[in-house]
Amino acid sequence: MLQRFSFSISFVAVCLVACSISVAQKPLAITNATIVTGTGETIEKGTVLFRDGKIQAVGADVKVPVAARVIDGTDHYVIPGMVESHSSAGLSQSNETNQNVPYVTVIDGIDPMNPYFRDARRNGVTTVRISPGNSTMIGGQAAVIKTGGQFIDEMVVDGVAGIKISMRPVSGSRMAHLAKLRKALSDAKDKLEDEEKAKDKKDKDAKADDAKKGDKNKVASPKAKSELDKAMNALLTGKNSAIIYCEKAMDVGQALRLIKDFDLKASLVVGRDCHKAVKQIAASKLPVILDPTLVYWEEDPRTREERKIILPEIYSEAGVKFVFQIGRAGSSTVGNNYMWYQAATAMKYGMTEKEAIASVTSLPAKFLNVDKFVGTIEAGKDADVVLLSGAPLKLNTWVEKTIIGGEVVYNKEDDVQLRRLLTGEEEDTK
Amino acid sequence: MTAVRTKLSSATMTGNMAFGAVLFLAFLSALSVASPCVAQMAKQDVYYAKEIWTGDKVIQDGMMYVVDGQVIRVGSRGEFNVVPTAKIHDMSGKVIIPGLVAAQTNLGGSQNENETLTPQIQAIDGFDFFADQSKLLKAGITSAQISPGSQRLMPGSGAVVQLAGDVIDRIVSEKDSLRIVLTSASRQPPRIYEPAVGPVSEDRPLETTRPQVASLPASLAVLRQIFKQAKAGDSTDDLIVAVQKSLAAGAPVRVSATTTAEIRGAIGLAKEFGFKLILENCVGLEPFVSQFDKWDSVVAGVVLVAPSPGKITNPSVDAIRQQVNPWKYARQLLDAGIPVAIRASSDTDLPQTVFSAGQFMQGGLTAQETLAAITSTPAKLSNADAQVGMLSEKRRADFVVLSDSPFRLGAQVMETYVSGESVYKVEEARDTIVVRADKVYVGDGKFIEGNVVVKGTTVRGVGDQVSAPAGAQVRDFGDAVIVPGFVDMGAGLGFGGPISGSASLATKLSEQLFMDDPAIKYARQQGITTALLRVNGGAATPVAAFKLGDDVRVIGDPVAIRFKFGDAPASAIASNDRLLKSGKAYTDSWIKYKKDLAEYEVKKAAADKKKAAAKPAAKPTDKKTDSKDVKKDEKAKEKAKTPEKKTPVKKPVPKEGDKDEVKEKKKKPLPDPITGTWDGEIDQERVPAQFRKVKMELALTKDEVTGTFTFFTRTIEIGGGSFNRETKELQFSITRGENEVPIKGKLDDKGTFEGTIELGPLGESPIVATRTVDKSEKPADDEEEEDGDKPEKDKPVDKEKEKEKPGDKDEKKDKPADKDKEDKKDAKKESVKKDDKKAEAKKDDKKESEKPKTEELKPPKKPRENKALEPYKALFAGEIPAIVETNNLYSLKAAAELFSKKYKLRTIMVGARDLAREPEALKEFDNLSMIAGPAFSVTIDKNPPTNMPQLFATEQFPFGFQSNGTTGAGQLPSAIQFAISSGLSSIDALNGLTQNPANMLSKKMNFGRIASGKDADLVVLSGPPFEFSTKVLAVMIDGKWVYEREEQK
Repeated sequence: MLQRFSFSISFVAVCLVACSISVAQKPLAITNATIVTGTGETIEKGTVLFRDGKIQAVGADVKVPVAARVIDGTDHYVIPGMVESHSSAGLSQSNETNQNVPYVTVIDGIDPMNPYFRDARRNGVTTVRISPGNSTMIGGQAAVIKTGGQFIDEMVVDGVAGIKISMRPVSGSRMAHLAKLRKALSDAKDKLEDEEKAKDKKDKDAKADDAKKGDKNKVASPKAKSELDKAMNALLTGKNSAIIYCEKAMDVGQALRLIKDFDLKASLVVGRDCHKAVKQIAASKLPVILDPTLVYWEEDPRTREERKIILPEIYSEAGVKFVFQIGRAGSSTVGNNYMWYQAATAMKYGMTEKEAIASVTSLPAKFLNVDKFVGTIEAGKDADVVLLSGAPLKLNTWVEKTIIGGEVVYNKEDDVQLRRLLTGEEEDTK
Repeated sequence: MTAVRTKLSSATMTGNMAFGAVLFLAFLSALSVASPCVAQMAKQDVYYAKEIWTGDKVIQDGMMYVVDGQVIRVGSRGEFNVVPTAKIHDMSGKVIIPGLVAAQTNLGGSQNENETLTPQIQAIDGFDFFADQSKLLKAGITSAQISPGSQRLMPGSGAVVQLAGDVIDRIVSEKDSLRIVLTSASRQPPRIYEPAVGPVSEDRPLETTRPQVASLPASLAVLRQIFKQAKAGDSTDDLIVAVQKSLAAGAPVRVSATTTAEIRGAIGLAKEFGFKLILENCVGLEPFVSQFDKWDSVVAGVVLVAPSPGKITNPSVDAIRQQVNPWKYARQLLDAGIPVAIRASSDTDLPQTVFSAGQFMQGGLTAQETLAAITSTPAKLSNADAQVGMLSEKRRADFVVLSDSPFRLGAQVMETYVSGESVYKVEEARDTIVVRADKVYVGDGKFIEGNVVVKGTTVRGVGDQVSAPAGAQVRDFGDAVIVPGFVDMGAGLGFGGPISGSASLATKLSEQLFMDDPAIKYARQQGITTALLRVNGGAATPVAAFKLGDDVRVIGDPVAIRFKFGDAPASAIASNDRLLKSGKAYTDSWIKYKKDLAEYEVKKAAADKKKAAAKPAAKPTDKKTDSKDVKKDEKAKEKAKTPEKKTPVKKPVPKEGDKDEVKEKKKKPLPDPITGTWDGEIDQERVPAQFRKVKMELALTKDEVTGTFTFFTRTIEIGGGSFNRETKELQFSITRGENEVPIKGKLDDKGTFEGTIELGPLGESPIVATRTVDKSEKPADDEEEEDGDKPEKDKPVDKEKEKEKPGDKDEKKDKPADKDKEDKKDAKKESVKKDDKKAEAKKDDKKESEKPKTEELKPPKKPRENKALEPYKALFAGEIPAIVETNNLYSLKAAAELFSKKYKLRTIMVGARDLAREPEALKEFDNLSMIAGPAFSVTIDKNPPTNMPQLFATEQFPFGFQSNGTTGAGQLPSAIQFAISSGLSSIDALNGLTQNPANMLSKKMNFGRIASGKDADLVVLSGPPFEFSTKVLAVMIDGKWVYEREEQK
């Protein structure tokens, strides 16, 4: 099962996506809507046409085939489906108890029926990278998936979307945690080096008679490698990237040290406190995923003086590239549990509207390396869009419809739960 | 033992770790090179200090040159040159020591791994570079050794970091030495458990039981096994390899060993396996004392724990008997050549490191050795001494600025620097000044050593041990002597020259003070801080006292009444007795009034209660009349003011002329908008509100204007006055001091004068005045005419009447008010004709005071307030003394008889020249004190000159000095010098200039001494007071420096 993802997973993923929509599908069109394409263009009274799970055309005068189902988008806005960069929701269990499990993958743990996905669709999130939780050491592999679908196989976009490494000790001290982490990485590095040496030697004297050596080569041959070794090899050779969680500012320096020591391809998930190390982060030029709480008050432990910390402001001033993640505060209140709210917050503290919309669509798509498929409304990309009742990033704007792969996966009219929530209507008891 | 080893599941990282660290540092330095800030000029600083403790020597008056956070050179001031662009930091009077290096801390957090042997763990991984270290920086700690843990047998290796600075450069030593904990703490380590026996599966076999190292022998056995394998060098086990690496690096092993057995075990291990030890937390050193000499080859150093400062520990009796104080061993170890470092007993005590270490001086450690134990030695033990712990070439510029030499009690951390950057600075207590000198004169002949602490305007403490905030400003005058500010008991300072005209007791001298009299500046340069103001005038004149600060501060007005006691005893007695009598009568009337009022209020309250119970409605009317009465009183008071003020003062001659002119003018029918009494105001913010009021008494003849101009409560004759009836322009001038003050302006339609007055340094200021009493000639039926026709002699009365007129009209119905006026008139006449009717005066006063008695349940009649008599209240209450000016022998005695004996007044004699004739003439009188000067040497007839102050001193009169001078007031101290040269003791002279005047005047006087709570008036002298070579270095008045000699600045 794991093996499936070990060879060119993105290729498989593309196939999977393509397959899932290859079933004969009627074209679908949204007309007369204001289309925020995310490419810098906003089309008034535009039409977007979907066919075969892809966007076929978008523009002011796109001809709609007679056969197409048409959604009237008058007074409505269409934006690209939102992309979430980091979440450990949607899993049956966010972490393996064992802390050194680079070989496990979230794909095996995702439950498509998890309420998270329903909420995601309701909130206009169409693509998400699910990764193991932060309470781990080397916690397993992340995957980029669509939020619509019955079976995980239909949902996966990229199964090689990074390996979670946490700088926060699950138990014990930081120094011990680091010592273990370093040990795991250096063991893998040693093995890799041995392997390469052996391979070189094998190439040189290909027909060596030494039985012992032959044995060794056999052991080191790719096919006989353990899942752990394979996963670690992918990490060390840059085939898979590291998603490094830094809880405190002090973790940042250590993470950067590891990245340097082991030549990792990495991105950082930074906790609130890490803004203190923003200089180091900026110098490292690594992309970061911000803490869900973007604005909060921090008390100086000594002077008791309170200071308002605005993360997007701090990081953008330092020139750090960042994307948002959302909190899990429940869906009944407005707050950081909505992607649009995060973008709106950033906008409040100085981002332009265009940047803010990009920060939840095209930017994370690029960040997750899936911008070929999602993130903007362009012909040829996946038919993932959100139909909004009004201008995006406004409090009174609702998601009317969410479309993934050309299928309407969420319709506000049919959202019984939301209706109940809003109207207080009793559950039907027949 | 192999079993033990294999159970230690976590294996160490090997070569990669150190390699990685180097890479990391290289990477970081590459970063910093790339950053644009490097392109900037090197940061160059020079620090000058009283002492610089470099770590191996103390440089007096030293300088330190720092470039880019690195010490380049340290030496005595001026020993070497630095680039002129270097920024100079003058820490004169302060002491620079190296930043403290904490010998052992747990700043890396606690390490509670599930294994007890974790040599691969590095403490640096647990150190939070973003944690707030301000408490430690404030205590002067700039670097710290971080321990990997204290509850495991082999918790890992430590590190040394700076506690501030750029995150990137703060690691001083990434891995200092392997730590072993032999103390009991490692034997019952928390969080190491036996795993529960549970179901065993194939893929998760039950882990082996972890070792329980529960005794010292077991610990030592485990360690011996590990070291043996490490030494053999053929193991591939990570744990063994980690230990092997640590030993190979040549770094000593840190062993925490408290008891004798533990220490013995540690030394045994070291000897057996050939490594050096750093012993930590040793207590049971006693048995080893004789072996200290031989420890050299095994022990690299000892870290002793300082007892928690300020804590009562209740040691065991045995411990007391054995006197097991760590400092005992410190001395012995140092003597044996073993480096000793001192650490605080816990992280909580770290901020008290200096104090903690200071305790070791009890064991005979020198300050330098003690300092080394918290700076260079801990650095050396952690192999960080090439970077921190000392102030010498190429080391990081981590240093602490102390207020005094280290370990002197009271030495405070003023500032802490890490890599040349100030990371802590004490908050300056701006309002507190510590003035340092060799001696301080505190009064009563006593000089003490030490400081004067001044807070705000007063002295907070005097002496060697005085508490002051750490950030107080310090002025160190070296060998100087501080004495209280001098008092001149009679001067004409502050008037801008000799005062013209005369003053009465009603005059407020303080209101005539010139803020910018240059004589004040000169006087205080000579140390005079307080002066008594006196003016020439009538028989009784007020004396005011003021401080000579930049903002002239009046201490008392009056502080005394000055009486002239003429040389003809008979008339002098008569006139002075009369003055005192009327004063006494006035005082008594008020005392009585107050008594009656109190009685009345009690009665009234009782009556009101009854009334209120009976007829609540009656109340409001009562109240009404009450308030009216009060108003009446006030009005009467106001009216009484002006004429009474003027009466005692002799009318200036020109006034008579005025009246003639007024008369002349009567014949002219032309409209006269000028003649009359004018009230006005000068619109100048810098003049205090009460002085802005002006009064003019003007008369117009053709177009010439004559009359008087009253402001600053002085009445001055105007000159060169003219009025143009066409343009309505009025102009005249007054003479003030030596200056001509022009006043000019225009009358508007309503007759209001608007113009300007030239106010010297204050410039041209607007002045507005309106005529309140029209005295111009009017048609014959005018009421005013009557008054005008009255004889000249009665003029004062007339004037008064005129002024009362409007009042009369308003309050015709108020009979009591009328009556009051009658009384006033009577009183007036009496006072005017005092000389003639002296006998009656007393009667009248009595009458007046008796009046209130007759009225029942009516408020007692308030005596008229008479400003001219007001000061007598204080005089008779004993609050202020009488200063009696007399010379003649008979007058002297008579004056003493009258003032001291008859009226029981505290009396200060001025002059008392003839005391030289008969020194014991005043022996029988109490309450007498003297003012000497301005001439201290008196020659009577053909006798040799008498040194008056000396005479006063020998006759045991308290005495002060007066200069009687204006610009010459400053010469008083040198005049006294002459008196000293002729025999006056300098202490008596000093007392006469300082504490005596205050005592003589009043208990309320807060100057004259340097003591807690007294005014901070200080004179800093370069040497003993009154010596020829002694100069005034600085003068402070009310806590502010008002003079500093040029070279002192």
